[in-house]
Amino acid sequence: MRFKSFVLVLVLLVLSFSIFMSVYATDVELNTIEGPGNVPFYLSRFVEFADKTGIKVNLNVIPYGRDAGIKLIASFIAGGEQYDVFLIDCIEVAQYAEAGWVMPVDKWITPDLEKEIVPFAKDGMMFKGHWYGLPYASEWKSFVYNDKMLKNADYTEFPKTWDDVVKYSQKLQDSGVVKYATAFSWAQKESLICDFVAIAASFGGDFFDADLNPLFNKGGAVEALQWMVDSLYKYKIVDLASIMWTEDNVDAAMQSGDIAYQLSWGYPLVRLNDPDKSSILDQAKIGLMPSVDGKHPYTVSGPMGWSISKGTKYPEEAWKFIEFIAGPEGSKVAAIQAGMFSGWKSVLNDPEVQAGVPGLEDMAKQADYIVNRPIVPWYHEFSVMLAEKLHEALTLKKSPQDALNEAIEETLKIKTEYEKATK
Amino acid sequence: MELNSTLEAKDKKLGYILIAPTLIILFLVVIYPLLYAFYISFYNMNVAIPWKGKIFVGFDNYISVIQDISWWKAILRTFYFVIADIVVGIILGLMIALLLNKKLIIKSLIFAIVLFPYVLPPIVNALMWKLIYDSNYGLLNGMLYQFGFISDYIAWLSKTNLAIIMLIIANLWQGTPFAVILFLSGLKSIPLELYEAARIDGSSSWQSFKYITLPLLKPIIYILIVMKTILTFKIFDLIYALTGGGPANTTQVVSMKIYNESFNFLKFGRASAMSYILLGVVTCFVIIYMKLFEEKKETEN
Amino acid sequence: MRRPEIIKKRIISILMIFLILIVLFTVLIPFFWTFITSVAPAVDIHQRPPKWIPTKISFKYYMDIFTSSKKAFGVSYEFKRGILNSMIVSISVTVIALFFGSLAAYSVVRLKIPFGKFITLFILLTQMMPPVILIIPLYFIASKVNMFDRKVSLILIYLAFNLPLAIWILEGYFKSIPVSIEESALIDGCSRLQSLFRVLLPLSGPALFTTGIFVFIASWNEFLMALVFTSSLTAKTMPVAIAEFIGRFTTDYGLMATAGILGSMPPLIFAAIFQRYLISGITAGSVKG
Repeated sequence: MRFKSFVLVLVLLVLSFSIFMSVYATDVELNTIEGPGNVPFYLSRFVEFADKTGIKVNLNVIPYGRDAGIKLIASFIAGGEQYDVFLIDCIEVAQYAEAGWVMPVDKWITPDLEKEIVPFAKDGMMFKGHWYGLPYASEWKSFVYNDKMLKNADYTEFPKTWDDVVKYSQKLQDSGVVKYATAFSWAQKESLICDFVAIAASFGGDFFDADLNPLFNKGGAVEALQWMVDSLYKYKIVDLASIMWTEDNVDAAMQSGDIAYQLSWGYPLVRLNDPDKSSILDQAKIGLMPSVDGKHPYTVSGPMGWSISKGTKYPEEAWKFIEFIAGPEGSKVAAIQAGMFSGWKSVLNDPEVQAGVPGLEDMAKQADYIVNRPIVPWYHEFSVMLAEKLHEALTLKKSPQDALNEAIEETLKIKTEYEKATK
Repeated sequence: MELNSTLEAKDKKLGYILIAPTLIILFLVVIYPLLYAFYISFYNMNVAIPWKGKIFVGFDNYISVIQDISWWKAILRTFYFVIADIVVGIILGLMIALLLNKKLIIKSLIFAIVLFPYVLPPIVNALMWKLIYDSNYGLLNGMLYQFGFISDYIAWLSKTNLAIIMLIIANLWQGTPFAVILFLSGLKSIPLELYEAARIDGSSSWQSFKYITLPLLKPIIYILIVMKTILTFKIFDLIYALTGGGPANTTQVVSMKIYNESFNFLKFGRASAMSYILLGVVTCFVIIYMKLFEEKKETEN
Repeated sequence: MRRPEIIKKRIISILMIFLILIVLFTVLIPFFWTFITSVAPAVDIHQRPPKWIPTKISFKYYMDIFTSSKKAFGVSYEFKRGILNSMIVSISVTVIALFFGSLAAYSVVRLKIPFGKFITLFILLTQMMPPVILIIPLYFIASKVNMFDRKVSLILIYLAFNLPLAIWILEGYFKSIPVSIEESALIDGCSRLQSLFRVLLPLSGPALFTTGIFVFIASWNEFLMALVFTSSLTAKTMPVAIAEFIGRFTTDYGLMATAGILGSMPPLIFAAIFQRYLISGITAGSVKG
């Protein structure tokens, strides 16, 4: 008797609990996942959005922004309901679109919106003629330097060649201005590849050709990797911790005045002049990417946008959200408050933005020297492999030439495997 | 007697009902998934190309893994971890147990303290050691610097030759209490008369240790070797949180590799094959141990 | 004993005490330092070498976490939810494991069903098998029945991991209780189940306790399954929250340290109060194994 009543109570408990949980979860709530970079900003925007539309947005934060890809893909395989909206990187659009994980948003794109968007940003959001999101951070990596520190070392201009970089760095370090002149985001992740692509281009090297043949084991690219290795071990101008650092770590080092210059996404001066974040207010300036001869100041692009998961339960609400956060109005707020590079013409021409974002004119000079990474559906697998090879060179396990030769082999394997599987 | 058999039959029926929930849960969460994983291991499943579905590839996945040098490197790395853990862990555990095996006043307090690392969530252990190893403000750097052992802070987890050692230390710190407790209980069960007799015969403490203590503790040592092998081959939390497998894959242990293969490379079929090969490796070890220890027991008897 | 021998003994005793202190030191220092980091001002920690004794102590991180609310969403609230979810999951698993485990152990020991060896085999299997093996198939199963990001899923998985151990401990203990005690109850008219709940279980206090503690700690500490199968605050457990902190707050050591201390509280409290059961569980389990 007691046993039976006990079982009954247990069953009742479980039932009522599940009823409670299901009732509890019927308000429209959107879920998203982000890296740690701009959490307070997002939270304040989400609150605004909730106030405006009554739709709640839940933020899940993970350690490294681009690792969200892993969790996102896992959720897509499982149906795509777990995360409704998310930040998509240009290198992910192809894969997500091909696999049917991201929702095409063509039907919501009005002709006005299309006129508004900067062509560079538009390319990042489109694949095979379809729109997959709204541009949010249509950015490239800028070269940012601490002008005050350079002046302390009697330099009036930023270094234009990599040799200059070495010279300036050694003087800065020798005179005790900084312990390490700079740091890079060379952890074994996509951030390493971005830097490699940029530096390779600045050495006159190529990543892929127009037919997607990999070319980075020749010429400038090899010299670039060699320079990266030398900067760590021979010239010793780069903080050794860089091989475990992502962009956030490098930003933090610049903000606390530990390094004299960095490569940075977005509008770096917005955060470098933010008293809540930075201790080097009004000291930083934007320069051009250094290059091997001063004539190839190329940097890497990385447009990102907000997208909708194909499996979301709330597509209309999801569109409302990405319109709010990444449309022209939202983009303006993001530019001024979070230093997010806008992809909307109106925003870039807005006097408030031009006043509120220092360094905009200097950044515009970089706009003519940008290289892109290939937009292919197999980019993720390629990236994981290449990061491993590059890292082997950076940790002196292999010579740059060997590492890159192997990388080319693997790339061709990945490419042909994918083409075979999708014939 | 008929009464007995119907009672027995009733009992058995009740027994099946009572054990049913357990069996159902075990089937749902362990047996069925294991079978499913085995099934998947013979297919090529790139979930990024979902429209193609599963492609039957027979033993290709297994062959591919066995030919993959990076896989064997991961196994070797894990094995290195295991060996270090066993050797240092058992020696340390025994030494500490010998130390604590005295009539101490605050015995229960000491035991509680010794138990702390054991019950700690492995992820909290990882967090703690991440703070300790931090290259800018960590405890290790701070202490070594304070006492003049190093002139400058070291990025412990960024050095390719040091990273795995730091992980081994963190794991040992957490795992040694287990060995200590086992050894203590083993030491307690050794009759004191044996030591008395030895002393009367004129043996030194070292000889008592070698000829009385060690042999009687052999069963515990064997158990520890087996358990440590099994446990350490599974290790994941610590690596995930502290190094993610880096720098340059020097800490990529087997569990991490399978995790990466699943969620980074999305090769579910291949990852399943890896899992089964791993299971095979671990089982081999256990069987080898059983055989070795059985033989040893026989020679002793 | 001659004098030199007495002195030698004294020296050895002092040496022993010294070594014991070193052992305790090595065990406690990481904890202590983590605790100090959680209450010291950031300035003190950021020095080289750090100020070992903080200039002032503030429990603000702890207060933050305790008083955090859903409205003012922030890191503290995330962690608080993590702890709450862990509590719910761990307690549920413990209660259910004790219940089903007792039933199963009873059926094996007293009702003589033929699954006894099977269970022992299972323990070996679940202990030996690296959990990574299960991730992929469980992932597909969960996606088909929409069991993602739910505490219930975690509870089920943890039950599967812990039931074998629970059954085995209880089995061992039940075996040690003489059948005659139950027989008198049965003769008096009790059913089998009644005899289990009214006679056997009350006598099995220590085993239930030991089992409960082990199952709770194992559930509280589990990480990999929680990492893969939870994504939002609905179901995220404490270990997952901590893993995220480790990556996020690479400069806010005070917060990380606080999370670490709070996350380890329940197991530590168990260890402190119930060490007897923990120790008996460890020794019994391994000696038999």
